[in-house]
Amino acid sequence: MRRSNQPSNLTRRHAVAILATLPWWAPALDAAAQPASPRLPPTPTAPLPPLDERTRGIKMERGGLSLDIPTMAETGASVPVVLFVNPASLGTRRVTRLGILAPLNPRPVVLEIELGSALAQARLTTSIRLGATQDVVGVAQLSDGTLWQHTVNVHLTGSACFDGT
Amino acid sequence: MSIEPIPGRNARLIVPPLVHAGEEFQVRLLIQHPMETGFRRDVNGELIEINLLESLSLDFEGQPVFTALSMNALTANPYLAFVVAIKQSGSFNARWRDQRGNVGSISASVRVVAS
Amino acid sequence: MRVCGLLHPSPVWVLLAALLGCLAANASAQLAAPQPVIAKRDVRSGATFTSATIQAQQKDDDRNPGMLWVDQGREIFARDCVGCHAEPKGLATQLPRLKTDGSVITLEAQINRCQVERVKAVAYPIESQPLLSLATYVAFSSRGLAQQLPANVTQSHAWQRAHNEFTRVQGKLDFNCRACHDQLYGKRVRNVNISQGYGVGYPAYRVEWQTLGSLNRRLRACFFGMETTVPATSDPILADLELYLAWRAQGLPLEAPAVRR
Repeated sequence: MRRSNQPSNLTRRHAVAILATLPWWAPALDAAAQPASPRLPPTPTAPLPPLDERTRGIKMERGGLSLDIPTMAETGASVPVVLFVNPASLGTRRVTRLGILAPLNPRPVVLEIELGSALAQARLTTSIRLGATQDVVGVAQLSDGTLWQHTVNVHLTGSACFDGT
Repeated sequence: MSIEPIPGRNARLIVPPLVHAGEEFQVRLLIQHPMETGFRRDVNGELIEINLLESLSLDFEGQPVFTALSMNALTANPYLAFVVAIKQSGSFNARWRDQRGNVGSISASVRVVAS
Repeated sequence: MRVCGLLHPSPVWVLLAALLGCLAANASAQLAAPQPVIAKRDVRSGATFTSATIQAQQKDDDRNPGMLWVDQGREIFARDCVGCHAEPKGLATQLPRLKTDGSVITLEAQINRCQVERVKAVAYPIESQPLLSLATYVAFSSRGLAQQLPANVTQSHAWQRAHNEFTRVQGKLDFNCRACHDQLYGKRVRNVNISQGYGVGYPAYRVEWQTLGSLNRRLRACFFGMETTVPATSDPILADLELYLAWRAQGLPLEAPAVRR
């Protein structure tokens, strides 16, 4: 007990000593250095690991998320997608992030987007690339940390003509 | 061979010119960018160097609409659309940067009319 | 002995006979003027052979990436071209056209002629961003209008050369253009609908290219697909074929920038 307490005692003692050596106007300087506003912008959250790592091995419910993507795509170069979270399923929570995983793509995280406060809906419409026929996973992250997923198998039918131009 | 730079825009940011306060509408962004994956080859069989967008964000008068954290497999010339609602007139601003350091931006303003 | 005055081979009768013969020959030549295999009422835009996804992308200018090239072409046009062309509308309907020497001038070639002769600048490299942008803007400005072909186009050497190329069996697959695009359109090669093979949507945004390209590039891709020798960009046969496709399209409206698979 005594040994483990010692370092923190030392630290406290040092802090007192440092404070004692500071001039009397030091707090004023400190206040001037920082903006007067008591509400500083929220410190950016520590960057999260990539979406595929965060979701690996986690059992995710579908919740209110829907991934709208064609089950047959004529080319992987452009596949239209809509990710949408039904607001009725959220309660007091909000959607903070939307993402798409394509596990068989050379880079499995297709897209991850942080949603801003100007949005009226958690809805994202875009087009993505797919390297192969695979299960495409839409992911929504809620403000309480919950992750929802909706998986759709997308079959790439490939191309009949190869184009060397 | 040097090719003169193209004048004008290389993106479209589409918003309705007039909306009612609080009315939901689409903001659509289309950017001219090859989104080179680094896996494609040119006609001579040489790998084309990777050049993806590495940052992209859209805000309305400083209020964030979205910030892209990862864009590995958006299509070439990416298209993104979101649904927003605003209370006052103002402009949407999109900014992006690619892995070669090329930057781009585009703005579009929306006027809010009394409902 | 005189048999009959009427049968007397006087110079007048010879001339008359020659004239009649000439008229008849002319009439039969007109009757026999080659017609496209696909009748005018059956002509369909390439867009109708693409998926619903691609059709939706083409219909919506704010989602069609080709419009980004239109935007840039509009700026170049305003800077370099308005001195001669106050109105971009209709320019593209005059192309491709026949030069007096019998060669074909395509939209892109005409732009580069203007660039050298009028703008007094260096010709744009083929498939370069400014050339594609200008061509797309000029074609876009004639959206909904039909290409105007030169009179008697089928009597031109260019048409004949293109016709021979279009109907010549070539490549490892023993194909000719006609077999697919005149006769098997609407059927599928693997997952792809065979179109009727017109150029009215070009320059077009091709998903497979992941960018916008010219009809010249598209035609070279056809040769590649047929597993035959791909002509160089500057090969006049490609310009001849552009003219031939316009003849086959029979007034199908221009729709650049189309979106194609």
